[in-house]
Amino acid sequence: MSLIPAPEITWAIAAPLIITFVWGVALLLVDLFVPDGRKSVVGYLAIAGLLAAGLSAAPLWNALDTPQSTFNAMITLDRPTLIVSWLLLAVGVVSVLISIDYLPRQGIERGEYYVLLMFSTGGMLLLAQGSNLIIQFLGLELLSISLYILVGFAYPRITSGEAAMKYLLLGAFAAGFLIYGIALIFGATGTVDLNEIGALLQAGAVTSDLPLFYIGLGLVLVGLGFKVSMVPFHMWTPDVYEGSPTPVTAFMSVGTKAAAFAAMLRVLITGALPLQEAWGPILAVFAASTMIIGNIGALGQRNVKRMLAYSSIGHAGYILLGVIAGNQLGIEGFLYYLVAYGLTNLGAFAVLIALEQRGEANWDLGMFAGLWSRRPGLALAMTVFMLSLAGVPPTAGFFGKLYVFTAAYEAGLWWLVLIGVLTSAIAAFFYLRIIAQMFMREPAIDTIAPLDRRLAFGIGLSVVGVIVFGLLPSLIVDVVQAGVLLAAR
Amino acid sequence: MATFLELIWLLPLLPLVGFALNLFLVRSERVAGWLASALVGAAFVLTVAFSSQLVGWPEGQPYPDVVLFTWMQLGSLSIPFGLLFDPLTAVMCLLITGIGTLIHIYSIGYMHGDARATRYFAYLNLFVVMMLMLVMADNYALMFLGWEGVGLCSYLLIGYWFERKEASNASVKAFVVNRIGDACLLLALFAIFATFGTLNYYTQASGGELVAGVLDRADEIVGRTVEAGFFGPLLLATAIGLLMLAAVAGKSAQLPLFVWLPDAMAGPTPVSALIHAATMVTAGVYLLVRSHELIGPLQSPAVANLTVYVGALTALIGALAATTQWDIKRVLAYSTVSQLGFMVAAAGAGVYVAAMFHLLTHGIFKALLFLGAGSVIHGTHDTQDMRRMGGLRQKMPTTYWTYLVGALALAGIIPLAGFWSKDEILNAVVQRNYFPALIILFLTSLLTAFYMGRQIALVFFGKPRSEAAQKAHESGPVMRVPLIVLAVGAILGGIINLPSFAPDLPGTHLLGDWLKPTLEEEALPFGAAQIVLALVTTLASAATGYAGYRFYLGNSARIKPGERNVRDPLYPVTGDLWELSSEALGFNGLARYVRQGYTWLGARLASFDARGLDGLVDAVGYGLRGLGNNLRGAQTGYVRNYALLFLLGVVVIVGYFLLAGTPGLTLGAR
Repeated sequence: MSLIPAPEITWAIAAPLIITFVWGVALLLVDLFVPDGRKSVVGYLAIAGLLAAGLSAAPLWNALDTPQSTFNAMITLDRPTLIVSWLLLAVGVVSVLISIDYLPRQGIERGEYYVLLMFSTGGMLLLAQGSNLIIQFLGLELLSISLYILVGFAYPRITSGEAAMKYLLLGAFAAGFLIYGIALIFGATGTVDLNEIGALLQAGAVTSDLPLFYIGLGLVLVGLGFKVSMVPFHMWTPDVYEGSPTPVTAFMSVGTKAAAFAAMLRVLITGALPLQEAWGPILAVFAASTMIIGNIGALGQRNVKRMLAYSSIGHAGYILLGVIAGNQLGIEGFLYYLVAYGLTNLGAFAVLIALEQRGEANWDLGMFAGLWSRRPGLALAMTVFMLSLAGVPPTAGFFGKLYVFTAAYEAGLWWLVLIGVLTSAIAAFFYLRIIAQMFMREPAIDTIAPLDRRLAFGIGLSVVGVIVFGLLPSLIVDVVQAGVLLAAR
Repeated sequence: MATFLELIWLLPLLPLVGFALNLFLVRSERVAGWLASALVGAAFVLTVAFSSQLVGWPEGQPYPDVVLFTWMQLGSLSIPFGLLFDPLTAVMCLLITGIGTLIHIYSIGYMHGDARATRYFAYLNLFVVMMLMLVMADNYALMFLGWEGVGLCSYLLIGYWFERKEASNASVKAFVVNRIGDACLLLALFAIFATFGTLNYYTQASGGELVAGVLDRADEIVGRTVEAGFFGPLLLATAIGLLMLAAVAGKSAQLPLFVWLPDAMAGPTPVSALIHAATMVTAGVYLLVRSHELIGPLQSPAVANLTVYVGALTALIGALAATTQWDIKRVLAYSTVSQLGFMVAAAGAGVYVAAMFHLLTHGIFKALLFLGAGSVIHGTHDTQDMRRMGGLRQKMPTTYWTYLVGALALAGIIPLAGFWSKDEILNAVVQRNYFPALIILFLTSLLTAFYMGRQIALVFFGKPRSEAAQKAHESGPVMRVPLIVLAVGAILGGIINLPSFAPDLPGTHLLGDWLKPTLEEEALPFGAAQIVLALVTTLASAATGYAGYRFYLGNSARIKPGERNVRDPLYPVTGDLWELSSEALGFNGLARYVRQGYTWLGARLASFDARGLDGLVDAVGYGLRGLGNNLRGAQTGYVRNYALLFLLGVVVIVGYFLLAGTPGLTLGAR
């Protein structure tokens, strides 16, 4: 009996992943020695770890002019994936930053929170970088399990527990479909390696088993669609987003989405590109219903957190446009949109956190009333975020939309563009409603909660990003283009 | 002096500085007002200086086009953040900054004592910035930035007095209606980009080489068609033109989207004067004129004809509605709708100089009328109902005389500004053989004179019909001076584009000559027939205007304030038609339905959401209950419902892929 040969490992490629996980485990131990009341130290250490992971990937950029794999092609890095990875790490950093002040305020400060956040970020990295269906599943479960706990972290509030329960039940439900889909794909092709699957399909080697493959692909899309809240797998989103601690909502609404979208891109572009004519139409229909349901659903909301939840569903639809277009411009637009949306949404939730008082949990539109006279800085920041989400120039959100719409238009999907433009016209209504509240109402409450410095820093960073990337989108576009050009396919 | 013209970016920068200062630093109402006015005034002075540089511009030399930086670069799409200053932009800038300055100054008096006046001036400054961006942009994308920006400012300013319910409702209405137009404009831009691969108007140096702009290459569009599904093949120019026309209908208050403008009068009166009369609402006309190479009558006859009749019918309906209003500002608002109809009709007929000419003169005299109305409202302590006015002539002499000038100019009485520009439009539709439109516009002119006669009689003549009118006082100098300046403009404005009997008579059609490099349009012929038309129109207008004045003066005793639903003296003659036209022939009702639909949908979805999609799931549930499976088991919460919908999605996706994957049933796979 021969030993199983150890695969050749390029540590540099796996570095961000390894640093995140090892640091997380170490932090769990460090946490033991940090006294209660000083848990913010753990938070700062988590930030340091995430930054270190991000920096460790910096030298890779130039090396990645061709995609590189390691661990027997289990994980593959190319430039788009690297961009997504950096985005995920940045999301992690900002999420910790906006939590440090929030947790003690809500009386739920625990060191494990930051550790779980790190594990979840690691899971997202794995999901985004995995070029093997099993690895993707592993990443998805890692991020989900950590998130189930994080969602229920605001345990004094019963809705938090309820949200965690719902997320867990439906998450398990979705995971079942995903793993079954993977099994069917394996049955059809004899492999779970996405590169190999792509090569097999390209060569036309999968013929009689093609129906099996199709069903498998469909089920995998169901599992990933659940994570990105694609209609009709979106139902959990408003409830879970509302119940979770707000920083977790922010983290989920951007991080999970970005990672699952990256995985979807891998499955569809690396794996199933030859079948684009088959998956394109059905995903287009789902994208259309996602844009419609998300934006119309947000229309009737007075609860800002639920409104943002529906809005995040709508934005998933726009991001899908880039995936469906499947062309060079589409992938560029997809990446740009992720970055723009991520910045904006984190910022918007950060403002929500700044306004959230302990125990007060209705998130009614009225809490924005007269914000301009209470806290002009916050009001301006929120205005920028709302304009960006609504896609009004000159914010980053406008370019994101323009980008994906242009890509979809070039791919001949003009009807999807039409729906996109019309739904974003509707969407502006509820975003501007918040602006109207802030500038045109008298404040309902006089008390002004002091604004935490770290939170203010996070918000300020997002505002600058949204405006700078809106005025000078070439800053990201150049990076994104450089990334995608070389990573054809 | 080309270097001096490279400073055109100062124009939007000055009011932007004002906006920032007023928003962040200034806390005193006085300082805010004068600062805002001074900066817009400085922008006006600069505009004059820049425009003077364009005099005698060598033919063929490109106009100043300052690219500050590359705004974005997406694939083949490169969009500069560039500002253009050609003759067309120059006249728009003169109008915006000139009238803008006067209205800023006037606002100092009008908004005195308002609790949030600094914010008002900040918004007003921001509006000027956005409006300048709109007209100075050298490409459609940047123009869209301004287009959205002015919409945002308009929304904020209409709802400025949000405590009044009608103000916040009106701002929502304006917003919703405008979004329809904006979405169409965005689609038009996509179509343009898809066709030409660029959004720049004109040829521009980019990366060392000259790249031709959309309007330079507009000929390429001739004969190209798009498949429009059910409607069959459609000329590409027609498709783009229709989308743009929808955008124009939203912004410039044309059929069927004009309904937001009368409600927008809930904003402060100077705002109505600046945004909803002189500048923003003319953005649509500007868009038509700017894009004339692309969607003109040669490129798309269908769009041209439609535009003419949309304009003409809007003019008529607006005038009918204006005749039947009691609110002094709503009369003017409907009148604005009507006059915008004239401009759109002229632009549709392809006589762009006439459209621009009327845009400019109308900007002057309608701003004058609104500011006059503001002065009346101010002097009578917020009275807007004309039934409660009367006899203000002696109490507010300056307001009266300037208002009279504005009214005569609007009515098209010789030799005031409105006569020349309106006559040019009538001449234009004749020249382009739109005789039905001529009849409609002629009738509209008569109605215009009539409702202005009615208004003058009701407001300034007769006996005061309320205590407020009894105690009315003239406004202060800060409000009177802008009125006088604008009145002078309304008298002399016609000079800028006099018709000429003989070719090349000096001092005639100055505006046409000025705009010639952009519009390439010859002056309309002007002969005996035109003189007859002009004289008939002005005499008939004078007669109907006088009739309106006499009739309402004679019957003013019958108008008793204080009673609800006091009927107009004309009501016995017209009967229900009166009510019909006061509701703009039912278009207001239409808008109400749209709004109700919006609210209904919102409310429905809110309950939909609250019940966890039970409604939909119930329907499915009934079907499944047949299986004997009681879905409403012991479980609490709605997770089961979510899972059910989830499952439906799975069925759809798997079903689809089964069809796609089964040989013989291929949906285009492989």
